[in-house]
Amino acid sequence: MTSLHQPQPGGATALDRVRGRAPTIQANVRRLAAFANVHSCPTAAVAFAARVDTNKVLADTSMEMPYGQSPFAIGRGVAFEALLRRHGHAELRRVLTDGLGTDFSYAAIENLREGFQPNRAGLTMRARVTSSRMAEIAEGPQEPVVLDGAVLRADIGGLPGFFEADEMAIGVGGQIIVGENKSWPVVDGRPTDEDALGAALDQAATYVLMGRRTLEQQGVDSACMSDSVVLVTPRNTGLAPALHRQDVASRIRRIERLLGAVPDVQETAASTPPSVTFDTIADTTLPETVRLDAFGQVTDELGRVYEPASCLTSCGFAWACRQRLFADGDPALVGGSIARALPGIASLSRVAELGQGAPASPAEAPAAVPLARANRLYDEIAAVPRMTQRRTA
Amino acid sequence: MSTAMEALFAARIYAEGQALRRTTLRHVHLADPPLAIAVWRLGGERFRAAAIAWGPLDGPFQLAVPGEPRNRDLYFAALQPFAADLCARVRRAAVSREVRQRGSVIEAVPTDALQIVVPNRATVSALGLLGRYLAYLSDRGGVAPDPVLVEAGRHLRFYARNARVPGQALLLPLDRLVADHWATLLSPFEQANLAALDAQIEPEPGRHPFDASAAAEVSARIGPEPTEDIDRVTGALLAEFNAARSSSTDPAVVEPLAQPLRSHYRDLVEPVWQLMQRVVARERQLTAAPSVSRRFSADGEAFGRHVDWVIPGGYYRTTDTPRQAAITLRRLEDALAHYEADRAVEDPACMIPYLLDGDAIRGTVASVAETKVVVKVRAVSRAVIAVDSPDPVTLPGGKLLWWTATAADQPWQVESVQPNGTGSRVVLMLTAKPTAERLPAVGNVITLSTLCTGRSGFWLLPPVEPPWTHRPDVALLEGEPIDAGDSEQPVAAVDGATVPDPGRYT
Amino acid sequence: MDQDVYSISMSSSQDEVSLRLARQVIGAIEAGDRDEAVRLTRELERALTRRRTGAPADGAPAFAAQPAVVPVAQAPAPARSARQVITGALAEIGVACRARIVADYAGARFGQRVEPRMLAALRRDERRAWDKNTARPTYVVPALEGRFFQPVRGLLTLSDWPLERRLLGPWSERADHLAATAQLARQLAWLSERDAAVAERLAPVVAEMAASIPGALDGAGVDTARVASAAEAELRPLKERDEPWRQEAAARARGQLPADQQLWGTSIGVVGEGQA
Repeated sequence: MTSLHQPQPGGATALDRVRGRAPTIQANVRRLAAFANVHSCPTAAVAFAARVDTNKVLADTSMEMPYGQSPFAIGRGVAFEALLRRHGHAELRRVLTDGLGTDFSYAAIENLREGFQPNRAGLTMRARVTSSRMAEIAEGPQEPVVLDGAVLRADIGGLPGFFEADEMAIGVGGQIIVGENKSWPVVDGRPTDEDALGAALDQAATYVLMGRRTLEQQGVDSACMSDSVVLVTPRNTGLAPALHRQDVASRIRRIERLLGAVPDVQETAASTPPSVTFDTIADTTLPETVRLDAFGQVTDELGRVYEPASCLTSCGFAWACRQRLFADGDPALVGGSIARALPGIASLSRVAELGQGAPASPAEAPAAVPLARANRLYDEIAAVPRMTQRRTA
Repeated sequence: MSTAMEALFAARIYAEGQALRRTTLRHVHLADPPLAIAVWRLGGERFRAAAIAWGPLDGPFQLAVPGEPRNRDLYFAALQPFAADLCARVRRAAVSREVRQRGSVIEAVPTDALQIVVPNRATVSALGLLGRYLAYLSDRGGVAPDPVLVEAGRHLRFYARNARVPGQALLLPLDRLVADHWATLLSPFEQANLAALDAQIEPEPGRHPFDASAAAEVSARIGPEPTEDIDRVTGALLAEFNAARSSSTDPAVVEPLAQPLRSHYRDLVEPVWQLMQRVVARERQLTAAPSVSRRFSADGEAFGRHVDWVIPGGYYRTTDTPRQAAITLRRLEDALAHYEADRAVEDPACMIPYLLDGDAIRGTVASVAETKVVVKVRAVSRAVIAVDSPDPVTLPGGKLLWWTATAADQPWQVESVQPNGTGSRVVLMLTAKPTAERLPAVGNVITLSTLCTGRSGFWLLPPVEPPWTHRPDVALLEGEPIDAGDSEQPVAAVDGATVPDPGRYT
Repeated sequence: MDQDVYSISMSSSQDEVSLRLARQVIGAIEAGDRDEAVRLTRELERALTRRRTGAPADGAPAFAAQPAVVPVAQAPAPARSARQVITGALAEIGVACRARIVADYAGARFGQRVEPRMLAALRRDERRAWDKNTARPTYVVPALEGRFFQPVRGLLTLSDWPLERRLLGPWSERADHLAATAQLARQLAWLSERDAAVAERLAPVVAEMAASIPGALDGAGVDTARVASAAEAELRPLKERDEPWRQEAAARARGQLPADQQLWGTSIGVVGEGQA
């Protein structure tokens, strides 16, 4: 669903041009954490900076990746949140009290999503309120406080932006703990969905990272923001919530490193010719071949960095990029670790030739020797009569 | 350097347009036929199966569709035939046993444990969660749950936990079976899709495997987690079903009303079932490696112990004690090392990565001789062989290598490595008495590696009390029954299109 | 070793027609009749293709499950960009090489012409891509002369080669030319058994490179074994001087130059104007 257009800070007209009329996203912490997985790809970085929705740009093409969720899953999520919020956050207060050992019955629970305009001015105000509240919490032990709907500022790839958070900031005893609600249960102390857990913890870690920066900007000691985050999840087949703490210090370090290495997007975008834009790719009135060709040109110009597991889980362009790599015979198609084992060799066709014993150039020789050997061993050893399996209908 | 083998595979598959086998043998037991199970959950509900299909893989499947799986009565009524059948098959498989003596212990081990196959590893976890739920059902409304459900839950839980053991074959996810035996252009992440794997191995004639698997990824639905479009249909059908039955759970009323849902899920299971049949038939064609039956027999022992504990009414803890966890971890590590050694020793294709990494040598036996060596006080006879390898060898003197034909026996020690043309001549001495079985013949091509398959020495079990002196003062949470939420009203489904930011509910 | 005259060898074919055609090709080359040789080579190629996609060879291990005897889809013929073509060609040559020869080799090998103006554009684009940090695995960079490390126009190398291979000393250009000629001769020998069309395009390229090597060419045919051994013979004494010189120069460069100059050289403005 195309969302409210978020005007970019700093008048980055190059990014506007790159975005064109492509579908956009609201920037939030969850998307930022996912982007960290693909941070080194210039196309992903520019798309993220331009707030382009990579899931929707390739809509109605054969390269569109499925991304929706079951209505039952969404229904559980909506219901779980509503449950926590009902009757003045009764359940949330109870679960925080039980889990954190402090009485939250009289805690102030503030939701910054209400009462602010859904535009840039509103986001700016929310960010301001967020940072002053967090500074207040850090100042000293008072009544516990929960802050929902925070907006944090961050500089990604040299471009400042606002990021909304699904997570809560829980202030208790001068500490700020990040809390995250998820509707999948944690059973016997273990989550029932490891991948979702990883994503949730990454989101929370990103929030901690950005929160610490916010505090530091105000001269407040960021150590008050805790390394361990809180997950509120159902504890059995229903929706009754329970609380679990999890340490995310290593995730915070990792995400800090990744986000710090994002290439400078404004420069990247500004130095591209006017033909580089997601507008053509996203134009559903154009034939698919035109759109996919445009995708190839744009990614050739900006640069592509493809790693199967990260890209396929975090970016809607993954299938289209994978197709380009296949057309090019790029070894990165099967993953970076294999591509890195082939220095000096330009394409998979050449790898196959070297395996068959083609003479290797001095540059290719180090990688070529084990390839030729592997091929020889395989052909020698794998002398199995051909199976005659007919393909059943 | 075994990345060289992976790189070569990728390049050949790319250039020649055919997937390649990684092995010459099958390294997992395949029953004839195995019991297959396919599951479709209700989206986001980790304990609710909207449909379970099961049956021997060589025939049609039975289908259990509760209609509204979040309603306890309907759910249990639908699961009951599945649970009853599973328990019956488990018990039947546990009946025929052979008596085995190990040391002073005499055991009766089932000869043909029940093997279950599922489409993918996600289904293994799904069955494990279902088992966790069923095995610990509590009385709700004063009505005790059907004992067959509880027993089935215990069996499912055992199978899912046992699935972690490397080389086990009791609960076999077919995506792993295929990925272990075939090289494709799919990365490990992409290999989790059984249809994509199958498409790479048998694409339509004239189509490149890459294109075939990309097309399969678009159209294949395998489960257990349903996609958005599947559950949109389910949502509509379920709403109608619930409205029509209006809180009745009488089977006579519910059964006909559930037909649309049944046929919706039948259409989803049918292609998955055929896919599983195709995959198993193809892999069964390979000859099984010798150690397969030994490993399955070990599976049989675990199966037998489980059945003997559970049937009379034994309970399992929901979590391991630290001691149990330590023992389990050690067992799993041992099992993995053993499994990998077995594979490479028995299957020359699996030895290739070790050859490339320099952990194995392969060559022709140039000479076999006997010599006298002084060991401690006496002079004993020792065998010395020279092996000519076409590839250069860089192993240090003193390195112990096992000949694959005697990998469970004593090793050879490297005496010297000399360059020989483009390769090397390696001289090795057998570190044990030279008997006929231990010596290769001149002119044969043999392989020696650092892998041995003999039983490693016994390790001490960890002490009963864990060694840490301080424990946090955390009161154990009173375990609330896993099905406590069954009495809650099911929540309404919410379509992603109606919500401003559906991604927040992942 | 074996005489590897430019000939089409039949791996395991009993195909009389192909054998006859092959002999005719060799005859035409030796007679200096290039057009006839080309025509016959095309016919031969057609005959070989027919054989390849017909019944599979006997006893082929074919260690894979094939549904039936059908032509298997080959790898896609990539529509390569000029950059990919140059990079691929340069990787296969493996030493610093004249841009024009790289383009000629690429044209023969991949069947794609690279115009001179494309080469100029490539130089500029590579530098720009590097400046923008586009994260490519390798860049086409100029060879550097070994005293002041200035880029040498017209000589191309790849950025993932070690510095030693990209620096030029007093003997290096000749040594690299000899090494490249030997490598391409070996490549030609290998290709002549597998892809007659490419081999036919490549032979003149190798011949031109071998023209300056005494004893490499003899008559009108390209004898790959002779070319390779002549080139290597001349290369051996040169290498003894060139290698140590290169090592020393590389050590000096690593000590003096920052990373980007180790790739692009010390001169500003010769390669790429795109310095924002």
